[in-house]
Amino acid sequence: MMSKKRIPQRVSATILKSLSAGVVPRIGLEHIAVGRKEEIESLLEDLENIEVGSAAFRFFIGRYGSGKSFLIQLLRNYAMDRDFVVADVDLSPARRFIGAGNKGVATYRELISNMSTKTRPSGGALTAILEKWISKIQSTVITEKGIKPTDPVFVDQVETEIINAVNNIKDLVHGFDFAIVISTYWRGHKLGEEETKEKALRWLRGEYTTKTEARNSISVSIIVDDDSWYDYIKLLARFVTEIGYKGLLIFFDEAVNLYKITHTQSRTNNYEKLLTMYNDTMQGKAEYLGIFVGGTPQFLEDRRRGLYSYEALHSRLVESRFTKNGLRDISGPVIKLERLTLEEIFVLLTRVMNVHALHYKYEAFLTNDELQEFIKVIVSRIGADKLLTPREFVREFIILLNVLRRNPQQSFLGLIHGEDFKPQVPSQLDESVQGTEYEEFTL
Amino acid sequence: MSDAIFSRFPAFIQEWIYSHGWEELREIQIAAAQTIFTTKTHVLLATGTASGKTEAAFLPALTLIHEDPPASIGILYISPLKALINDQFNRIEELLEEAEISAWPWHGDIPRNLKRKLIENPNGVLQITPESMESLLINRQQDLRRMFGDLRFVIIDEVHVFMNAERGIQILCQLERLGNIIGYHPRRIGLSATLSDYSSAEKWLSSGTNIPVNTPKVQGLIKRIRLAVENFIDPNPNPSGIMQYSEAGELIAPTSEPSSEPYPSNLYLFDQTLNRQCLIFTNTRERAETTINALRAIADQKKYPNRYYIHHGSISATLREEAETIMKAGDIPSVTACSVTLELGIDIGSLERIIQIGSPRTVSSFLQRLGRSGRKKADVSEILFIHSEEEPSDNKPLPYLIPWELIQSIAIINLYLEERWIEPIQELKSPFSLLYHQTMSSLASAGELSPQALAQRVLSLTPFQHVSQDDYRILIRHLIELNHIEQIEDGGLIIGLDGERIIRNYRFYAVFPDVVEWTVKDAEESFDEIGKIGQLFLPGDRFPLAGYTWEVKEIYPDQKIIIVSKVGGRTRYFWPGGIAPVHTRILQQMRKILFEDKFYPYLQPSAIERIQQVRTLARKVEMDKRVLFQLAGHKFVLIPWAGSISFRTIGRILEFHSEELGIRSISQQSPYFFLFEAEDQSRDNLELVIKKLCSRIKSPSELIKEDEIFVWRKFDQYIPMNLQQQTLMDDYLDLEEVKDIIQSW
Repeated sequence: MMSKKRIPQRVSATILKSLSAGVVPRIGLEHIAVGRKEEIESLLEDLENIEVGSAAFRFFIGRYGSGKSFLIQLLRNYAMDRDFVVADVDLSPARRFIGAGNKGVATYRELISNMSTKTRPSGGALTAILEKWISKIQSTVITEKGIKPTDPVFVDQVETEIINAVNNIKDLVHGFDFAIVISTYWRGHKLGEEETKEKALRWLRGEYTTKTEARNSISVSIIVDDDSWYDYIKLLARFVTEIGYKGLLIFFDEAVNLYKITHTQSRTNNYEKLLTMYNDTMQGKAEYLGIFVGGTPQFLEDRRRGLYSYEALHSRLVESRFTKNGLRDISGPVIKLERLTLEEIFVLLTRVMNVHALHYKYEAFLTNDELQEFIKVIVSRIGADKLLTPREFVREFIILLNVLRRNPQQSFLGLIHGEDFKPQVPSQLDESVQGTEYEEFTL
Repeated sequence: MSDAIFSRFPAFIQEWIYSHGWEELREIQIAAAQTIFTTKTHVLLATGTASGKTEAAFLPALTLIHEDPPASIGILYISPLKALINDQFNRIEELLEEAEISAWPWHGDIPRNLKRKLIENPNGVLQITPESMESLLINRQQDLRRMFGDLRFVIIDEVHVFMNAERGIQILCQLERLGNIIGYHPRRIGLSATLSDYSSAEKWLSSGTNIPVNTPKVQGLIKRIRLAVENFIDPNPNPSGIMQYSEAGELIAPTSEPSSEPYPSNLYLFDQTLNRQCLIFTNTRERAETTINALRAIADQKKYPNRYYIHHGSISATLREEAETIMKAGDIPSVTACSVTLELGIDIGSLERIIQIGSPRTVSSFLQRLGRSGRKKADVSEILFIHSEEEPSDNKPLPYLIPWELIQSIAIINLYLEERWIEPIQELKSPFSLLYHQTMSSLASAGELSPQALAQRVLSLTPFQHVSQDDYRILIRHLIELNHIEQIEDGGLIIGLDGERIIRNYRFYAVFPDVVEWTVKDAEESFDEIGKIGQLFLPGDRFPLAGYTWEVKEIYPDQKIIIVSKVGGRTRYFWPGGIAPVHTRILQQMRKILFEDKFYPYLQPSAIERIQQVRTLARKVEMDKRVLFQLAGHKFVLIPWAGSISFRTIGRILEFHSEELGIRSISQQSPYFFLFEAEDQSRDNLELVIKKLCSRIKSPSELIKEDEIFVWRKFDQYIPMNLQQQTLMDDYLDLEEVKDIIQSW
């Protein structure tokens, strides 16, 4: 569907750099994506629904290396191109939905910091969104009302438009305070006070830690905290739609970190928050909002500490009885990602090879048999189960391509059968133990 | 020299010294300041109680953080008791106000908002117990670097108390973990009572840091000690006049009830404490209870006011604080009985006299208790030992004719007075219970760790350096089986669901065992808490607490509450709990005392008479030449003169080879004697056979049953059986010492 077309150097460089580092590239994913056709179609439907004011909630569930993060990035990029505002965050021990030490706010802050749009694809889009909005209103006032910026009523007219937009969100929970913050930003803009704008931005980024601080600074008596941050996500979804975007998509990856919480109450609190979000989207309490959560099967299905341990979620999420026996229902909230098949891996390798060739401007020369042999060697060295984690073998593959490019006299088959080719079993080895006597400690 | 040090202090410290009317800096304070100012090493300050150690450490440490204010908490002060922290807090708070350095007490009773304030803006001096430190390490992982990133000093109080206990190892682990987090090891200042051997305390203090320790040598205050030891014959004080302990060192409750008449020893105690500010030390909480109960009864009878108080671990904090306040005020003389709670350096004002009921278990405990008297510089330390025993009538068997505790007190006093001997530290070789604790704590703190990282974090801690990776693997696998630890899909380890229940309970933070306790409330005093007991009583039952006898009115099993009201009379209750082992050196000294001729000047008339009597007996039965004696019938008594650990080892040798020896019905009173029966055996032969047997045993593994379960320490129950047995062999038996001891038989 794509491959042979020209890829900008910037994009191919990013793809190769990310893959060599074992991370999912932020851009250019379409050039290497394989499979997932049904899932993607279903997700595109979600986007259409969000666009018309509805909300969506999906779990991407798959084992390590099944491509959850890949799918998240793919969807994120696609949505961004279609004028959605997107924001993603990797959950971690310090970033949860709720938890002592403002772990919920930490998640919120990361979301805001990663907020991206088509013109600001790598985060930090909040200011740009606000500025673009204001200048759009200004130009509307100029073109539609024929008022020149030098006209004394110009500012009042713009302000009227601003207030109209803001008024539409006032009826939502915390909408009133949110509106004050947005108005504050506008006031800063109007008067050319950078400091005032910065105060509003600080508030929106969740950087005020006490109510007193917020009240003294911008006369808003509440702050974004662990209990309320999700309400502001809903407000932001409405707000960005109000000002011309199609909606807001939020991605939570590495949700297994919630499973790993070793405090029953705290774990339940987090699951409860997840249930709130889920219910909101299902019951129409959220609008123009898509929420996507990536996690492992253990995170979802473990009855002792996974999501299914929280009965309220279990009953909502458990697979329909009609989806067994290989029949898949991908309209449900849970999208299960299987690992890539050997055929899909083959296609993936071919695409990576083509990107590499395009980037370094040579003719791709590996034959289908050589690619098959590569797969065979990896399977025999580290086992099929491990092989199917694309992160590791794609990295190995790119390293080989780099070697071949610099040493044209070497043969691909010679390299992969050689002594130096030692694909590693993906390990969780901490760097901190390397070189210590505990490096080899296993159970 | 003193002037130079004095002028080195900043103005606020100089003023504080003036306003407290100090005429001069004490020797230890000068030496400490000099060492702290001129070196970068750890510092050990070991002198007697009330020598001004606390100030010796704090004045120079505060000087340095005043001159160069740290960007985080500057001084971490670790203390064994909450009460000590509160006490220290009051002492240094005043000193710090001027310098705008804050002191932050941190323990279970400190309100949350105060703790939050410190976390948000870490500074000053943090005062903490090891238990709260553990909680901090587990629950504040993300804040630790910020809180302690520029820590300059760790001041550890009562080092001698920690060194011999698992809590001491816990502290070493905590400090090493903290050091790993902040990337360096701050200087440590250890405060300790007088020690026999500085090298082991220095080794303890520098553990895991590669920083040497300086111990300023000071003369110390040469205090006069006034000693007296007296002995009484009481009707049935408890069977045989000595406390009985099981192999584990647990107290065995006697079955008889005390009589209601005051004992001669009680009347003597009453006279000796009347109108004097006194502290009475007992070895058990039970003894503190019965003693105060008896004193109150006598005072009541003689129409004297009730100025008797009680202070031990099971008394409610309110009542304990009441006792402390009254003692500190000191305007009206009062008498307080306590177990070990007041051994440590809480300021309780000046005491005229210390009373010791029964023998202390160790020389260091004796010194600690002695040090509580005469805290004023020029005072004389005065301690009176009171022993009581049953009538040693002639028809009783040999071991019951010996006043063991009286002799033990003399041995302890002489070992110190004549040789300045104090028990050395017993290093734990197999601290698996603690290994469990630190493993769970480290994992809870990190959230998730790979097996390698867990092993690296925990096994690299100095106290665990002798634990092999193989043993650790066995432990971790066992914990996965118990679901205390869970291994997740990516191979990482996290706390398992059953582990969660353990670590999320505040009881987890302490490494010393705790018992489930019932809270006792007074029906007549608006249900105020009196204290705690470790056993359920039913309505109508009576038990003693806080020096009174109570009758149970109602029980609330769910809340673990017992409602009582005060009644008259005396009764007994034994709190469960272990006691310190007695060292072999003390037992050997006891044997020596039996064959000396002199009467020590501190012995009072009845004690002299009693010692004379027992020496005659010892010579008659040749206790210097024999350790085995034939009693009536087929009964024998073995007096091995071995400390608690060797005594236990010998007990196991006898038990495991009873058939071969032809002995049965073995019973014991640790660490004094074994009783058993043997038919058709001559004394001479049996003694020889036991000696040979003891020297024949090659390894302590021969003294362990194949499936023996050994759970004496708090977390032993969670470690696999073979590691439990390892603990028993390494730390609770001592075959080598037994072999030395039998040479002296």
